[in-house]
Amino acid sequence: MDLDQSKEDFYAKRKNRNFWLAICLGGFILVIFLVTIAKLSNGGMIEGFDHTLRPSISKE
Amino acid sequence: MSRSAVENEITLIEASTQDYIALLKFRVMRLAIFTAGVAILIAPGSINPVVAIGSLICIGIGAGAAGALNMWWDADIDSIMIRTATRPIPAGKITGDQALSFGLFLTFFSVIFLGLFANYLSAFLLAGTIAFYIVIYTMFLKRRTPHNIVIGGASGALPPVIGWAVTTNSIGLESILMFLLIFLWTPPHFWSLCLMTKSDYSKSRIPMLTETHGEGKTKRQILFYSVLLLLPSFVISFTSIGGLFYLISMVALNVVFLSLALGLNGFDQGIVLLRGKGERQLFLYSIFYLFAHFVLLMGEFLLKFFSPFYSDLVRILVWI
Repeated sequence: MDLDQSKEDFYAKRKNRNFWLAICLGGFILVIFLVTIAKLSNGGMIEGFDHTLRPSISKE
Repeated sequence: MSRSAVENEITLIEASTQDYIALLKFRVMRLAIFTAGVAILIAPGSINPVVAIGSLICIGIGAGAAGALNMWWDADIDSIMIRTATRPIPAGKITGDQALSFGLFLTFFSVIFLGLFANYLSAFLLAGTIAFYIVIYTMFLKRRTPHNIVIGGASGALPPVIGWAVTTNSIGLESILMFLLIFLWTPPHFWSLCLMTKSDYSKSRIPMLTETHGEGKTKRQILFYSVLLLLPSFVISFTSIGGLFYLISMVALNVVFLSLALGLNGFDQGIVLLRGKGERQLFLYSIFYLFAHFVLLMGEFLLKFFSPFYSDLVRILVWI
C-alpha cells in the first residue's frame, strides 16, 4: 500500500469513527433528556441527592 | 533505500469503528442485555419504560466494557489461539492502552449512569460484576485453575440480578434462581466449546479442564452440571415468575439437555435419539436452551398479564 492510499484510508477510518462517536453522543443526550422527563413526570416527592422516590416523605 | 521506497513501506494504522465494536464482545453483551431485559420486565413492581431502556443501555455498555478490559489483559493468549487471533489487539488494529482506556471509560460511564437512572444497588451490582469478571476471572482464575469458568461464570450470570434490582431495588429469590440457572449452565456450555476447540487451548496453555483432566473427565463434569441444572429451573416454576407453561416447557428443555450430555458420555446404547450426538450439538443446543428459558419466562409473564384466568389457575396449582 503506498503512502497516499494509506493516508486516504487513515482519514476515511477516522471520519467514520468520528461520525459514529457523534451519533453516540447525540443518542446519549437524548437518553438523558428522556430519562429526566420520565423521572420528573413521576411527580412530586423526589429526594434531591439521588433522584429517587421516597414514600416516607410523601404528603400522606 | 531511496525516500520513495521508504514511503512505500509506511502504512498508517488507524482503528475503525468496527474494531472498537469488536472490543465490546457483542455476543456476550447481547446475552447480558437479553437476560437483564427479561428480568426488568418480569420483576414485580412498575418501572417507567424510558428508565428501563436507559438502564438496559447502561447494563449493555457495562458488559461491553468488561469485554474490552478482558481483551486488553488477554491479548497475549488471544494472539496464540486461532479463534481469537483476529481480535483487534492481536490483529494490531488497536493498541492495548487504547483498549484499556476505552474499557475503563465505559465502566465508569455505565456504572455512574445506571446509579442515576435506576438505583445505587443495581449500579453496585454492575460494578461488582465487571470487577469480578476482570480481576477474579480474567486476571486470577483463568490462567491458574481448570475450574476457572465454573467460578468465573458468576459474572455472566449476574445480569438478571442487576435487571431485577433495577425494577425492585432489591435482590429477590427469583433473581437468585435466574443467576443459578446461568451459573450452572455456563460449565456445560463452555466445556462443550472447549471439546470442539481443544487444540487452541493447549497452545495457549490455559488450564482448561479438557487439558488438565482429559476429555473423559470433562464429559462427566458436563453431565454433572446438566443434572444440577434441573434444580433452579424446576424451583423457578413454583415462584412468582414461573407457572404451568414454564414448568412443562422446562421439563422438555432439560430432558433434551440431559440426553445430549448422556450421549456425550457414551450412554446412548439403544437410544436412537442420542446416537451420534457430540459436543457440537450440545454446544449449539445450550445456546438455544438458555435463550428458550428466558423467552419462556417472558411468555409466562405476558400470559399472566393478559389472562387473569391463567394467573388464577397457576395459583391453584402451586397451592395444591
